[in-house]
Amino acid sequence: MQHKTNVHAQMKSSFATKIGLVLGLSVLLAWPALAQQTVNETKPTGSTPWVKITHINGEVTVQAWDRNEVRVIGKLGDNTEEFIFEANERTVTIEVESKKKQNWFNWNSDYSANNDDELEIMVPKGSEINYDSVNGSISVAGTSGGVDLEVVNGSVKVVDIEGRMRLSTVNGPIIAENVKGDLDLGSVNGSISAVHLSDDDVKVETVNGEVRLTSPAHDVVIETVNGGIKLDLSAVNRLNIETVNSRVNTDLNLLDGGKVTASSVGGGMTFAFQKDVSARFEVDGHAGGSIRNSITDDKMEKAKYGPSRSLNFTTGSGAGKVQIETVNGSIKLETQ
Amino acid sequence: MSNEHNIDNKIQDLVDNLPEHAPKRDLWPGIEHALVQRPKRQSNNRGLYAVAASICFLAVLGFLSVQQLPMQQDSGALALIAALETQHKQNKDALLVQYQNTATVTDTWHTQLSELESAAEMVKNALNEDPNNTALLKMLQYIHQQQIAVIEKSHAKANWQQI
Repeated sequence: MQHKTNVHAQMKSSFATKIGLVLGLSVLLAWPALAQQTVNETKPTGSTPWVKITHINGEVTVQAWDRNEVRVIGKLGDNTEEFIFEANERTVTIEVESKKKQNWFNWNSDYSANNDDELEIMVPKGSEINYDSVNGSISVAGTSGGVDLEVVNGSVKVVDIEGRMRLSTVNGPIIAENVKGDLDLGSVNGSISAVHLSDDDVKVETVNGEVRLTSPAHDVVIETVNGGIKLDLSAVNRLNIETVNSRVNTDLNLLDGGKVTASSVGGGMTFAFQKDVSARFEVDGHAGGSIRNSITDDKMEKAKYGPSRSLNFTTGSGAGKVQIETVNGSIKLETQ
Repeated sequence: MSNEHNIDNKIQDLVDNLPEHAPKRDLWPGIEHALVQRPKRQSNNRGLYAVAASICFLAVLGFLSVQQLPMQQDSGALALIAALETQHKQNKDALLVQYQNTATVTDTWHTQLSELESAAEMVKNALNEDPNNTALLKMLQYIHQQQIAVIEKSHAKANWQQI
């Protein structure tokens, strides 16, 4: 009887050991998936490398430093398949490959904060940054080699950078603060806010996003469909605004011989020029709308036949030219 | 009085002393022939009338053509607008077919497309009134470009799928 009890106890003990082993192995196997992988690597490179960063989710912060090295610190999302970090004199590649099973475009349905990468990347000041992501967000500060940043849902922010800049989102916002160089900003629904400090060209394209731009650029192109546009332009030589229904508010200082062209289907446009603006003004409402002028006493004239209306006048020597067209929007001309 | 008489006498003397210029041949047959040909001259007049009428006809035709020119230009411009519209619709439909199985990255693109469609209608109405207005034509083209851009940007691009 005693022997039987011992055998039974031994069997129970062996079963418990097996269960324990299975559980232990499961935990060991599952461990990498439970804990986010961390990264802390530094590699040497040149002073002006092309830095390519690609990932799907999360946040990347890029900061310039005085070393000819690239350092990546942070953690990788749970879905990470592979982390690639390669660097040579001219090129740096930082890529987070995610598992294929994820459906990138239904990201809201199985979204988890643990899928986000959180990376801080230090780069040489002269680096050119190239960033591609779907749900990722990026901020870049202090670099001088230009940036090309493209995301779908995330945000893009650049601060105190120089060089040619191309920033593009579909839904996320774009913020550019104290930047110098050619500026090309594009979004579908995301808002765009830029404080530009050089006279290099600026181009802004959006469908629905709100636009706020402060710039001394000589050549500015704005293309929108809807959404408000607020422009503060201190040295315009060429300004071209094309919109469908956006509300446009522009304060501008027109340089001698400068030219403004603006066209709108139904949106209202207000232009506030410097007090001593010298230009020929030609404003046309092709199928209605209103034209109000407080720069001079000239008034809008309605066509004898048909709904069109126009306003033409000249200020100063008429060195510049302002040509504004609308189908039936309202146009307002004033001085600052 | 006597002076006048003297002058008359002198003239008479000069006339009397003029050499006689007889025609070298008898002119009467020629005169008669010319008189017989008179009806033909009448027919020449009729030709002149015909030429004048032709000129008038051409002038009127020219005047009417000039008057018709703006109308022809208008119909040409309207045909151009219709062709642009047809081409744009084909491009748009082709893109929509191309992207029909592709996920979208915005949920507003249908609304944006219909808003742009309304704006296009507004511009087309204005163009019907003023078909040669290039500013309106440019606006229509801009709206078409924006429609294509909205479709393209709102659908996931190949490079995102490659990521």
